[in-house]
Amino acid sequence: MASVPAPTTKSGVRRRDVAIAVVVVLAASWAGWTALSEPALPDFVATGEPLDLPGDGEFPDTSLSEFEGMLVGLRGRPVVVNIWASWCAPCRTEMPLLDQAARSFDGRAVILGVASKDDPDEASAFLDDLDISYPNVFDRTGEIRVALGLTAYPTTYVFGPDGDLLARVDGGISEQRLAGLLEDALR
Amino acid sequence: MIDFGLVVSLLAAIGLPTMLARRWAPADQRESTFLDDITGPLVVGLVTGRLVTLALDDPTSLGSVSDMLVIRSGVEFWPGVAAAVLFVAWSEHRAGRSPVGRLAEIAPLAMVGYATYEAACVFRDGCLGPVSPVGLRPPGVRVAMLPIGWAMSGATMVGAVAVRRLAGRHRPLAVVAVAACWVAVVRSVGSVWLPHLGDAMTRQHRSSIAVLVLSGVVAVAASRRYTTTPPTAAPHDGGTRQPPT
Repeated sequence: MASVPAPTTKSGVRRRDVAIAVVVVLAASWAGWTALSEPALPDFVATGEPLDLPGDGEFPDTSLSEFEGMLVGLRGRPVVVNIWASWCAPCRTEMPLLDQAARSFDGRAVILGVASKDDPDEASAFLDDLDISYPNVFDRTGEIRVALGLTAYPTTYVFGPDGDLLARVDGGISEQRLAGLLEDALR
Repeated sequence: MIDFGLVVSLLAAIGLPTMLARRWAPADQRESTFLDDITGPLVVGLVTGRLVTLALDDPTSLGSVSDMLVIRSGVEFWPGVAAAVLFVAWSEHRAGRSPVGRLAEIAPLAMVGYATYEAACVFRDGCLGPVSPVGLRPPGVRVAMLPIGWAMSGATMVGAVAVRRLAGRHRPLAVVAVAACWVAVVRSVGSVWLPHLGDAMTRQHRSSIAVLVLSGVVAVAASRRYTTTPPTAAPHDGGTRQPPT
């Protein structure tokens, strides 16, 4: 004799729906908390003698102290430091956005690119391919990325006019977020 | 790197309309569920929108699957919507049903999905917008901002209810056009308030205005009301009926 399936009762369906809802809410809460957690800012304050930024077409090897000197020389304006590499696909999409930001905020804020963990020739060719106009330096020793606590490529750091590190964005940055952070740093 | 914010947003954007579909379409005689029906269009829309974005922003990445997945440049909204709409129309046509009728049924739920996605901005870049004494403080920003994503979400939810009410009284094409028009208005206005680089309109802004004009013309042209008694079946019970000519 064939077994008859138990009828699905309303309360059974309701219990199942509640169970699904609880699981979904817990999963969303965990994922949401992960998404909302701000990455910790490194304890980094630039010190030293002020230095000029590299000129047009220059792409110098730069030590940590030289990099800090550049940041000191830029005090009074917000600075966006973007760490990138030529092998990093999101960097290729993000850097034209940073170039646009450099033009939009020209004179009010500065964008400074730092190529790290890369081959200098490939990094230089990468800049030429993308026709990037904002200054870039090459972190041959890797000490700049270590000092900034880099964990992902690309990573963008926003420094306020007084040199304080205000924000860090791991991974690609959106136009909205970049514009929002720059406008905030200018307040 | 997995973008958890995006994953949460997508889950919410699919989950809420799927649950709502059970309440909004109790008389649906179709064998498939809303989730069954939108899975194909959703995938087609996302892939198309993604490819269009990459073609516009970084064509060199189009040959690499890994690049296409990791680059965070988003999904071009309107090309994705167009592809999803065409997919639904093709599926319904192949099944011998009215493509526009089914699109009119799906439109309010799709709007709910989009509204939910916008509301989930808090899980993504933070809900950015104009500086306001009342609002949220996005990550890395020192001031509160009025969450434009939430305003867009609320406006789209209202639109979804309005479009659903239109469903039984207007031609399906008009319903679909009004839905597109409404979302285009929301995105156009929202674009004004979202932070962006430079003074020029963003691509989202320009494309939304174009869709607004186009869908507005279609909505006006197709907004002739039924002149005969509407069908006796529930207004959302399938896409097989044809509007009177």
